[in-house]
Amino acid sequence: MTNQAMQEPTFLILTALAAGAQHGYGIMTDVARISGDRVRLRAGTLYAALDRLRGDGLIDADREEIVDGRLRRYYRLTPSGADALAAETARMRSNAAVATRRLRTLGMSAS
Amino acid sequence: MNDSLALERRYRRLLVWFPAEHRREYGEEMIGVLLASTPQGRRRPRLADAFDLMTGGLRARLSRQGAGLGDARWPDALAVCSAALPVTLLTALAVNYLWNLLPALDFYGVSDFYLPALALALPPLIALRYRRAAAAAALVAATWFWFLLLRVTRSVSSHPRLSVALGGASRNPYGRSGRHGVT
Repeated sequence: MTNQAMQEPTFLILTALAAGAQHGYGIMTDVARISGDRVRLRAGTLYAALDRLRGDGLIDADREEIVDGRLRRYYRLTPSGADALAAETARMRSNAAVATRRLRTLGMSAS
Repeated sequence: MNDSLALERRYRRLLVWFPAEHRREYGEEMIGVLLASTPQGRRRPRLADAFDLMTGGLRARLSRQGAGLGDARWPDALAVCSAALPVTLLTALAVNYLWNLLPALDFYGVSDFYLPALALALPPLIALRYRRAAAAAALVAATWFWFLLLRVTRSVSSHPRLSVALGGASRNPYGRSGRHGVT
């Protein structure tokens, strides 16, 4: 894992899968919910990301179902995916803590 | 024709932007997600979705360039070329338009050369992925380049600043040395 910040869509996809295995459309709607509708992944972006995350070993295919004649594949977080999410969360938390402290000295609050 | 069938057919056509491998692995799933996320009754993909599939597909192709240079395939290469050229053209036209809106940036008709520059940059990018198609793409780009160059040189006379710049130089090519001769 590099020290570079994780892209927000990646972070949100991993966060969605931290709740358990989900299929593509489930991830899409969950990411929108987590981000308060701010990040809406479209299919092209989502599957480019899923393919990359699988290649990096952060997620894996879980099981497949056929619903209404259509393939549905579920994805799950791998142990190294959970590690990466934990590391990123810690990094963001520490950055946010510093920003919050400094904003307070300016008499502002991060709301 | 059934709305959702027409929509599905159009989505399948857009999936051609992705490498064949990617389509085999995710194609059916993506169709399912695309149809599920499209409001009922639509016959055509939303523009944003279409654009997202194009860029996602191109990105997937570029990110795989190291993986398999050997499996170059003409249908995929042609799909990229035929789609990338108009996209490049539209981008260049948009840039050209913006350039004209911002007079401060318009120096000596540099925007006229933006298009051929892009046309020349494209084939090497494609060649990274498709060696066999690179020759064909380069040929197309070169033809385009010369076509545009001819148009630019013909329009130089009607381009005030560019014609002054070039005309000034050519009208008095020995101006400097002439002055040197006098002093």
